[in-house]
Amino acid sequence: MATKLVFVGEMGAGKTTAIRSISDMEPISTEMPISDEAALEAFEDKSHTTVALDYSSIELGDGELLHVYGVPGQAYLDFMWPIVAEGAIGVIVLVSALNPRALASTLMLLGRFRELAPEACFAVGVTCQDRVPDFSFTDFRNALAKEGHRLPVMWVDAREANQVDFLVKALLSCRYAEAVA
Amino acid sequence: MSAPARKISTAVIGCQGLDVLHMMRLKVASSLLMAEYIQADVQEWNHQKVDLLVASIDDGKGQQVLREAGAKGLPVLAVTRKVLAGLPIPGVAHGASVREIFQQLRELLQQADGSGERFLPRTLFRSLGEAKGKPSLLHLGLVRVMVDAPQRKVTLLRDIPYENFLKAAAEPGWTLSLLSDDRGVEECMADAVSQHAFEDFCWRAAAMAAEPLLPQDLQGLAQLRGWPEVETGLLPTHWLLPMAALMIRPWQPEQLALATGTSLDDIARIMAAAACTDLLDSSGSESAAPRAKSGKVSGFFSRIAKRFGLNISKGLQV
Repeated sequence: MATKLVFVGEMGAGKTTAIRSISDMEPISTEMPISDEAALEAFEDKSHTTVALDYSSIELGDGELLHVYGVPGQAYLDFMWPIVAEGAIGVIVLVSALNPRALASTLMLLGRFRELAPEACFAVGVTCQDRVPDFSFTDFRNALAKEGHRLPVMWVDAREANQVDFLVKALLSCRYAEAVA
Repeated sequence: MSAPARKISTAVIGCQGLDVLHMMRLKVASSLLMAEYIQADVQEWNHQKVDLLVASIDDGKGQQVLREAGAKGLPVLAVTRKVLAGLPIPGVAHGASVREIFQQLRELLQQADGSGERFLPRTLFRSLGEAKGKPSLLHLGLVRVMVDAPQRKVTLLRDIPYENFLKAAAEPGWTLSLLSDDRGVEECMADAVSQHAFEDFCWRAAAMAAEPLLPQDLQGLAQLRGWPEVETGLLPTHWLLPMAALMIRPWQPEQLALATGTSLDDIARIMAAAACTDLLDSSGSESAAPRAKSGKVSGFFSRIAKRFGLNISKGLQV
């Protein structure tokens, strides 16, 4: 049975923060200090990054849990993807507008996770809106659609619980609509 | 900057049997129609051709006028001391205010307009239809805004809360000037207070408006081309399910309303917002025909949805 919600994205996309903002418990993270100076410069307000995965849960009542995973989107960590994707009810791809490869990275992750979790529903959250005023959201969304990814795409501030919550709501609405429409 | 592109319609309003007070209020109310780009000429009715007749119907002559107007198929606004609910025609009470008379005049003129276009209220979105994809300057009272459709940006040129502007967008009385060159755009940008995504503006205005931003064909199939760029969390939650369904395949609006437990009015507002932002695909391609699905979701899924505050109990009962 599908009991997982998965957040995937490259470093600095906001996975850990997003999971923390909607979880009932503090996420269990495997965070390590960033050692790459270039990365430190790129993500000036970020000193740690998740090197394996984040885990948290959301209580549904009567002891039932929705398991929430955050998994890095770097290709060299892709050995973890099949394990996390198995039984996923939905996959949210988070991508930072600061990422110069935002589109390519998102397309790659959507493609891979659609193969790994064919029953899952997908949504994309674009973070760091305030730091990239020139990012063309519509071009990004239209490019995804052109590649066959018709799905909710929205700006999201991972620090804002209501925004992450809304993104999950949109994902669940798509899941429901796909199941019965 | 060019002159306003909107043509002014003219209407002739006949009147019959009105006293001085009501005649004065009718003339003032008629002058307010200019906000809708309707130049109304009020004339004593002597069976000449008019667009609308306003008549006191409480005496025998008034009743005679009513019959004659009925025979000509002429719309009539009655002024009467009788109970309005019992009238067979639209009416206002004796002593009606200028505002009440104005609202009735506007509504009746719009209804009498066969094309449905001549006398429609000048909302911002109707005005934008004249922009033809060019940057334009719009204003309503103190609200002043530049809409740059090619750049998909809306720029507020007055320091007012964005939410107030969203509400005002659906009000009548907007005037539009085309900005024919870059200089006009630059002049406007000098007064820029804040800038917003065009899609955010349209969708949030649609969510606030009492009616669809523009009339929609509710018979054909329609689908969403993409998810709109709206500040996250500020669309109504109950729009998510119909929007998600519209992302998957084309729907006939009434079927979508029924299937998602959403009012047809909400569906029409979603479709209008999508149409304004070029996200509505009305081609209804057969390749995206309904797929056979189980029609069921697990109890576990329902509990997740409930945990996130989604009510799916009424949704998609297909």
